[in-house]
Amino acid sequence: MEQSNSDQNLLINKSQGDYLVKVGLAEMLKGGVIMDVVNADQAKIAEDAGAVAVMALERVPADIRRDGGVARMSDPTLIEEIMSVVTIPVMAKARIGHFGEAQILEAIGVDFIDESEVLTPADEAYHIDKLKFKVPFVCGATNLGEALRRIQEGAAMIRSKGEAGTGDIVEAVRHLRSITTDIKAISMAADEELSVWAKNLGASYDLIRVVKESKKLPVPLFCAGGIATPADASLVMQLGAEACFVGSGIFKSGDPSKRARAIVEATAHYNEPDVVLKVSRDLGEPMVGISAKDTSIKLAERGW
Amino acid sequence: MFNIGVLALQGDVDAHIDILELLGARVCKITKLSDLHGLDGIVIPGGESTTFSMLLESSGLFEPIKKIVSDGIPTLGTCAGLILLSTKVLDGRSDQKSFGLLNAVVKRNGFGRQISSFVDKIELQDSNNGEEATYINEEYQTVKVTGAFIRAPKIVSVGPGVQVLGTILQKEIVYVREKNIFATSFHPEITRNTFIHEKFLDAAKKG
Repeated sequence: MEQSNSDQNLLINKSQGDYLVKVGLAEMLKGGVIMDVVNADQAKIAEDAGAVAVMALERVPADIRRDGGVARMSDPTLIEEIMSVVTIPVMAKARIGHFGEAQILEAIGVDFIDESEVLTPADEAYHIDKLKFKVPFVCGATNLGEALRRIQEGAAMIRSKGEAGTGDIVEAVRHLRSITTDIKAISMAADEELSVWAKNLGASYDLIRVVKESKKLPVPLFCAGGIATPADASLVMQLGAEACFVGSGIFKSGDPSKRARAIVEATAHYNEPDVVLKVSRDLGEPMVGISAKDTSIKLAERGW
Repeated sequence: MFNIGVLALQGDVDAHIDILELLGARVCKITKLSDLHGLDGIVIPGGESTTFSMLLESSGLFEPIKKIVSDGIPTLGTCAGLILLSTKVLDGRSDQKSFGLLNAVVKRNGFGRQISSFVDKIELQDSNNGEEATYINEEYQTVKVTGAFIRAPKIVSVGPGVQVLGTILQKEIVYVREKNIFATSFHPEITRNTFIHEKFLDAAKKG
């Protein structure tokens, strides 16, 4: 049985291969922490603290939220500078629907593109056709339907949107729970229920069937938006996230280096409270944060 | 029944577990010292080798794993696992530690960044250890392994005692064995080929 399975898999064509290495990189990042950095020094600190990747951007979400205005792709020089100082993968953000920015990021050679609601959307109807790119994409989602639509468009990784730049974990928890609850329901649904699931979620029937059979998303599910402490990381990993993005939570805190390392440890050992306890001590000031309820702009509502 | 431990501090742990379970192994995740008891084999998955290095150190797993691997437990390392097992790492971080038990020089990200990642057929070499010799040709039927090379390390050279079991492009060494240690610069677990894991499990079953 294994042999025939194995033989089948040897017949991998070019486009299947391209997709495998995209999702493959997402698999490699599992159990790790991806950190937002705005310059080369921060990138080094993140790498030293054990980050599996860095997200290169001009302003962390907390500052984007404070400054207002239009948030765009970062200056290529900044991204290239960060790529030159670290050996781990470098990600960068493009605006929702802005395939022009994504093409530039691909030309720079970044390792992952985040089509991100943290930037100001460029298209109010369509997301980027991510299958056209060789570089893998990560997209945010608030529920399973949104996640599957992004996967249909070619996303190789899904992250919860959370509410970026708040330091409030409540929205990320809501999004993760929504996604995992629906996955559980679908995996127990009868075959005749699947087309109704597809209709209600606005997702393809084929992907709903894949979810039913595998009992999980077809690509890795990471958490983003509001992680500020080691305990936050442990919480979301136990809720089904497979890795963590930390944006403002690290470099808006009192001791970024120590906090970064603590969140890496807590993500790796999320099921071992004694380890999470140990790394939670004496971390200095956390980012101040704002309650997600009190924010006038809800970034998570961007994307369709 | 044989017990395989997969180092699970970070990386594509699930992909390895899927294949090992498909092949009938009992699998546990290694994140702390007590997980090392009663194992018949160890897998070091893909991931970020710099992160592995830090977490192995802080969890106190570095020396104990190094000891059981050097004592002869069958071990499989893919990608970052290969880097961690090798004696010399080029382009690593200065504080990056490796077990140094596989006599090979590897260059991190030697095949380039993600944009250069690819899937390729592996040219298997005669393993000279009583196993069936399998050579690749252009026919799919004789191919036993395809692998995903994802920001993959390059094996620059191997020392005495290391068997070259697989290459690509007729020259690049991508699959090696030294005594109890099997290592690949690619990911057979991502293309879901069972061949490499079968060879490793055969060694684990023999003890």
